[in-house]
Amino acid sequence: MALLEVNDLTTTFATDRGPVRACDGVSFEVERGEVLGIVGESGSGKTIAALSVMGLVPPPGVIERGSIRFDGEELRGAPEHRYRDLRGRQIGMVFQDAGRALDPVHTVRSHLREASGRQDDHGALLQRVGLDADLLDRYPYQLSGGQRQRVMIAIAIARDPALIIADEPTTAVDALTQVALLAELMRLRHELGAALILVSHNLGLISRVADRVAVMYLGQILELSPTAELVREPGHPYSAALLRATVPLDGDGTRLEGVGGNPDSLLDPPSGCVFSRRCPHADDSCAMSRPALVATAPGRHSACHHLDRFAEATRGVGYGS
Amino acid sequence: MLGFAARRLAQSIPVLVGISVVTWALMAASPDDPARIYANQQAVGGRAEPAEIEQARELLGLTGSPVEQYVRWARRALSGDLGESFRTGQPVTTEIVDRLPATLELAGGAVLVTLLLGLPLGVIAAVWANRWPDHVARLVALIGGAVPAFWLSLLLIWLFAVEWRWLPSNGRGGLDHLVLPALALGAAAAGGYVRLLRASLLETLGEDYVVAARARGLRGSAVLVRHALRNALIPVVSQLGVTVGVLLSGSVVVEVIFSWPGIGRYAVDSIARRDLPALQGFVLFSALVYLGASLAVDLAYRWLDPRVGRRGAER
Ligand SMILES: Nc1ncnc2c1ncn2[C@@H]1O[C@H](COP(=O)(O)OP(=O)(O)OP(=O)(O)O)[C@@H](O)[C@H]1O
Ligand code: SF4
Ligand SMILES: [Mg+2]
Repeated sequence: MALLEVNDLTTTFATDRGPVRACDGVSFEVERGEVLGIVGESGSGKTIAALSVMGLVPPPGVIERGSIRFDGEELRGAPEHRYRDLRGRQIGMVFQDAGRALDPVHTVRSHLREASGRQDDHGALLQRVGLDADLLDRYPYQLSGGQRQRVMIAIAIARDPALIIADEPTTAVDALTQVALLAELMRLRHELGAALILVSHNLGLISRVADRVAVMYLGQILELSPTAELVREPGHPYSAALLRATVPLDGDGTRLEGVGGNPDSLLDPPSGCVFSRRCPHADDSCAMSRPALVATAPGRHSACHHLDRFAEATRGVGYGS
Repeated sequence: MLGFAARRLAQSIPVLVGISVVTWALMAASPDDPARIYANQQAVGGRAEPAEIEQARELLGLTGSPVEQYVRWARRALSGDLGESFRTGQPVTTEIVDRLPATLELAGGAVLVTLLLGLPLGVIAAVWANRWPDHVARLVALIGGAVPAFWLSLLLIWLFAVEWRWLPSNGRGGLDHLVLPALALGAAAAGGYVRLLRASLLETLGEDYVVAARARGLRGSAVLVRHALRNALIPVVSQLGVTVGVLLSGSVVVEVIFSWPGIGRYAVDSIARRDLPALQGFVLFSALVYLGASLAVDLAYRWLDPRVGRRGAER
């Protein structure tokens, strides 16, 4: 049994311009101690997927369908007190923008006191994330972006959770700090033996640390594969496009291309395959019916009608070739 | 904090000067000659001789250029001397200081009523936004804000003092005397606070730091009080300064209706008797109370929001 099993998760927002499916039939599993990367462009539903797992979908969003099992226990429809026992204790979350996720009128100490449930030893917790204990009495506005993000990480690990969800833990900081933060997060995860869901729009970053990667677009997972294989030989036209648009962290960036086309809107999703308006391999059948996410090789899953055609055209696109 | 208080006090000096000029002008620029009013009131037949009027002018310090007059007046005012009441011949300062505690008690009671009504209703309206508790709270706020203080005063007197005989309706005494006038004065302002806190709390409830607080397993009530409400109160506190001003002017009506022996009723009596020095005292003290209240509000604001006016540690 996996630590986290998400099945057919569908989270919908009622808006003035009609319903928006931020997550649309999302399914994935996270094994104990595993690092799962979730990658996708802005607005693809990564944050909403994470918040759905936490039972914190903001109104007017509702989980319309699907199941979320943590350690075998169904969470969907679980009472609030049950969620409260899980949040922070079993699942720690690092928020996308630490500048907004830390309360401006509370000190670092006050945040850590809430997170750990303890009255002292907060300095030690700060030191674990590489910060000086002097910062305890600072307010969030008195910290740098990197320091704030580390405080967020300290909050997430305060009670040794079995799962850490890190939502773009490195977007708000510069490139050097990004690498340092990611290394810190990986080290802590390893110490705790915790599983990690690492959310990012940066496939290059994710591919360095994740065991498996889920590629999301418009609320759907289009490919879910072991990282090494996905990077060597992407199993979906969208993954291939993302990969071409990625600056390899150790490369010279000469291969950089855009994904092509503008990201679609959830308000007006394409019929059939969500990538059909931008896909170079699309034909009429793509706009007709939505391809299911199916196993294509051991451990690999992809949602595309024309994998054969795509495989033919893109041989040798990955990093590894 | 002390340094800030000192700086803030220094900043109110120009305001104080402005207030003093207005106060002084109340007498000096009065359309009716104050010397004549005073002399007539002192004269046996109620009609003073021209010589007596000139004498009065000398006595009231209304001779010389306006600048000379103002400086003379301001110097005396600074030493606490605002002249004598035309009516009683008593020092105005003493008369006001004797009545000030009553008005402060009434205003304090009214602020308490405002907050005790406004804050819980505002929280209820935001937490159950767009559901029936919200609709009820907003309706109450709307009615409260639309009813004039004098009307509410009469309604309260009729119900609680005349019909049910639960509470006294005039004079100052124990807590029971305070209830009705404080309610009449404070209820009107509560409506604004319901709306303000509702809007402010709805905003903070949607902030990332509130979601993040829930994500670390905090119980809902702690998230509400320590994070959402704590931040939502910041704009509410800055509004309190304005409310104190509104309450001070409102207290004039309420003090008259409830025979409350404060400076508001003193002001009304003074107007009726054209007692200019007494009116000057009222204006000056009201302004001072208002200034003091906004200073207190600023201090509270800084205490609530650590970001306000602090620099140095930012990196
Ligand atoms: N409060 C909301 N009301 C309405 N729609 C929302 C709301 N929150 C999210 N959505 C919808 O859900 C979609 C997915 O949002 P989400 O925040 O999960 O994207 P993301 O993948 O995390 O993007 P980013 O990389 O920019 O953080 C958004 O494009 C938006 O259409
Ligand atoms: S289903 Fe069609 S449009 Fe979608 S990714 Fe495959 S080829 Fe492209
Ligand atoms: Mg996001």
